[in-house]
Amino acid sequence: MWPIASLAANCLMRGGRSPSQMRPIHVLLVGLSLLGELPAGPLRAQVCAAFPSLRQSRFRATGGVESYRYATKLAVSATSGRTLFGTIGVGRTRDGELDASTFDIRLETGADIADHERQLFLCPVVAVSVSLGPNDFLLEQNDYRYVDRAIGLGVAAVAVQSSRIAVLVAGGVRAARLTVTYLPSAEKRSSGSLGQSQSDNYWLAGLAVGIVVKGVVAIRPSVSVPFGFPGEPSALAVPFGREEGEISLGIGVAIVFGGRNRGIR
Amino acid sequence: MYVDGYPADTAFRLKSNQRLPVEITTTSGDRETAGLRRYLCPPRERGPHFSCFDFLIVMQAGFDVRSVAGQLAAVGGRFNLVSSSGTMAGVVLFSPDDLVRHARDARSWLGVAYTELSFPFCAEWAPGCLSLSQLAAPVPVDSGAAVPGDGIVQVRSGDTVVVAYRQPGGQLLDARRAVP
Repeated sequence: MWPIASLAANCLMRGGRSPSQMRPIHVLLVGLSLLGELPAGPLRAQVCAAFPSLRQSRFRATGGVESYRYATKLAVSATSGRTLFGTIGVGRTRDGELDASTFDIRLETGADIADHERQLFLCPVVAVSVSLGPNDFLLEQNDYRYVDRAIGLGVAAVAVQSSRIAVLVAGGVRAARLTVTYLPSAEKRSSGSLGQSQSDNYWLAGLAVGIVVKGVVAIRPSVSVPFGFPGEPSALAVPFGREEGEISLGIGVAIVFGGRNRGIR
Repeated sequence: MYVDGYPADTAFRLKSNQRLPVEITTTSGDRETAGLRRYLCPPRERGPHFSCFDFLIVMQAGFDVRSVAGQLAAVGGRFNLVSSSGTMAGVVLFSPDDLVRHARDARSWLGVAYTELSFPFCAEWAPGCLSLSQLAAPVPVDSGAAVPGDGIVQVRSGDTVVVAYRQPGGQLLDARRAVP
């Protein structure tokens, strides 16, 4: 039970306007508010993402799910390289309440810089993500596109190591710039409605623990927090399905394969 | 009928799965319980907010919106307001989970031209307008003899409808409305 200041019983049409007034309102509201959603997971440098490195293997495949406060993201990716690496990934983020989803494409490149004993790692990374959707968002006949560019730095350490299992602890932060564009439907464009775009900067911090078995398979729980969105809540870009300061939980699995001699790190 | 609740603390946020019970009685003998929930969806702080309960149906030329009343009832809704021409109507869902999906699905109903969510707005100068703390409960109302506990408030002309909420401290908060 919570205190309520006042109650009212009304028999009025809700929404603050009559049906004849409802039609033209939404474009600006949505245009200003949805600007900026890109699912952005923790930095996915190799060891710095708490996944096994590619030092002894050629490829890594990963899959994972992230639970945002209002949405869920499923994603898979493939990584190749060694000290320098590249990743391509695809995913889908869905907000069930809003009946909206995005298709996400991610490209990332970075480096694993290790100390001479390979116990500590420093991982600069550059990433670009594109999210297509949501389309017809909130029944407004507007389609959205998100482009997220980020540069970041990760650190990692080998916390536990045996012949079979290694535990990696990794964290990172990245600075991101998110541009969200809304594209009105062809019908709306013909009536003079134009697209809009908006860009904002934010930060994304992540922390992960990777449990690596025989240097081949890894399970990685993680948390991430987007923060630092500027300005008014209705006028900035936030990643789709996410909210400032929310702590998102994720779980990922990875397998490395192909080529070189296997090793945990 | 809408029951509105305005929490004293505008920073208060009712969770999506929470309901605050209010009791509705009429002088002709009906007694029902309704659950206040958030008026604005989605529950996040940022972004657009629409009414959790309402959407608008606009029909194609030659179709009357009343022709979809059965389909609307099947998803737990009723007309809230029908235009005099019958070409459009505001509708309310009494169990509004999946409101967006239901509104989208309604576009496939025979004769429907399009549907829209309801985005409440206020003049910028209106203080405290549309707080995310605001609560609401739409309640179906029929005319006729009282059937207590059936989820529908039956009223007769001249009735007084009383909505009551028990505060955490035990005090009773109520609102009254006369039926024309």
